[in-house]
Amino acid sequence: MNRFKDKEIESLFSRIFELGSLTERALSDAIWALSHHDKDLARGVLEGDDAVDELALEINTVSFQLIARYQPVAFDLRALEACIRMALDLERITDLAVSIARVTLDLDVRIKPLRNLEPMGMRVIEMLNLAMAALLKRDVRAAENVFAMDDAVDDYEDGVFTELMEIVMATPALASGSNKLITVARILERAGDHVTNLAEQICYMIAGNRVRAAKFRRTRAEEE
Amino acid sequence: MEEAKMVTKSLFMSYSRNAPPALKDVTMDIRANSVTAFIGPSGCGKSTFLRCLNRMNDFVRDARITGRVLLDGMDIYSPEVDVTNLRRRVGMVFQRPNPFPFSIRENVAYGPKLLGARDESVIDEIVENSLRSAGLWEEARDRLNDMATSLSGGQQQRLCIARAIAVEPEVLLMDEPTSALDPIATARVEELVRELKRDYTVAIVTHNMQQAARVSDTTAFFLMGELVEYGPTDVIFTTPTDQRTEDYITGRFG
Ligand SMILES: Nc1ncnc2c1ncn2[C@@H]1O[C@H](COP(=O)(O)OP(=O)(O)O)[C@@H](O)[C@H]1O
Ligand SMILES: [Mg+2]
Repeated sequence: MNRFKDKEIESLFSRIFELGSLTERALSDAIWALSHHDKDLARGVLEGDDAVDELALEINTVSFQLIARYQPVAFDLRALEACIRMALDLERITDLAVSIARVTLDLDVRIKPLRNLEPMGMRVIEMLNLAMAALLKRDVRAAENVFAMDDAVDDYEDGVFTELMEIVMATPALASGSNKLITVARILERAGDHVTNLAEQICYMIAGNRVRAAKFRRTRAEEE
Repeated sequence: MEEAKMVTKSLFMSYSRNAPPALKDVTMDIRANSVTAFIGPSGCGKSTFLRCLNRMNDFVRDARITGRVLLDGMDIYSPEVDVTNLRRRVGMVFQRPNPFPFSIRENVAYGPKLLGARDESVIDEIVENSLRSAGLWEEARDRLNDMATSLSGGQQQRLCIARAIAVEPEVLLMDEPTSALDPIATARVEELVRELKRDYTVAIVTHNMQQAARVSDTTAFFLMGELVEYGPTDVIFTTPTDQRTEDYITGRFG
């Protein structure tokens, strides 16, 4: 009976990995589409959303079925809680990728690629990949590294604001387009927060203690 | 948190001179007005430990016990202890319901009568209160003179609990009290256990981990005579500390 339970939990993890790769794909396509003005690719991101929602829902359903069937405890219980919450975070990140794709479809002006925006997106993707690797290897240290990376995402966000300010001052006609790009920076910042949540779930699942990402982040004093 | 009702200190127990110890160095607090569950694979010493708490192991001729067992600070193994009085204060309910071959009423009245109760109206009151506490009054009130064996298994077990309660114990020890019961009767006994802790201190052995998780405040995990882990039930079943506890409760044992 327990071999069955282990197998089912493993297969749930593999669905999380699948969801993780769909999410990564959505995010990287959204960022590429934005910086290359590729509206077809942006539309592809919108179309991919349903599959993600479906998979996330399936992960939820199966998790609850396993809870009902096995009344799991300890690691098993934490793993199922983690799956439910990770599916939610991954689905939210895809929703954010969709929002970025919508901005691309909306943009009617061409603004030269920003030095900070694409790297910001890449950083979030890197965090996501690291979180998934941490889950695969059950590696708390790797998951904790995700937290610190979120600081860099915040730095890029500041960089985007500065760049756009300069652009608007030089060319006031680009103001509305710039505002949309500011939205994108905000979205990526939130995506980073969701990846941080993921990493927290992974730590809890593996080690059983609730780590607070804030502990691994820069303090306000260090920021001054 | 309530204070400890019973305490064991470095308790060792062997069934005979040459037998390996059935309990090794068990130190534990059993808190007042709470339910403490003992879990672990069969043969790990749960029942042995439970029986040490009211000296039921005295019946085993060659048994050796070292260490201390305290009830409200009093060493229950000290020579001046009156064992009959101890067993009144620390009552026991067994795995299989074992009603005496008397009427329902006589089963409950048995202990109080042994202790000297004579006044029938006082005995009636004890019988009613005990059956009420055991959640059996409504079912039994109209058939108090029926044989106890005419009750269903679940009812018989609640009768045994009523019988234990009738002598006003302070601690109730239960050794797998639902293992012979169907799920509905089990649920009723579990409900009862949770209610009993208001007035009593309860220690329960169960081979059913979900049952421990449902009814207890504190869980103790035994393995080969050792107390491996002991703590709040909510912690044991979500984030146990010892890998052996984890392996056992998730069913990855051995
Ligand atoms: N009356 C007895 N005489 C000799 N050995 C016993 C007796 N009762 C139990 N044992 C031994 O003590 C160990 C613990 O048994 P027990 O306390 O009944 O375990 P549990 O209740 O956890 O299943 C086992 O190895 C068992 O064989
Ligand atoms: Mg036993």
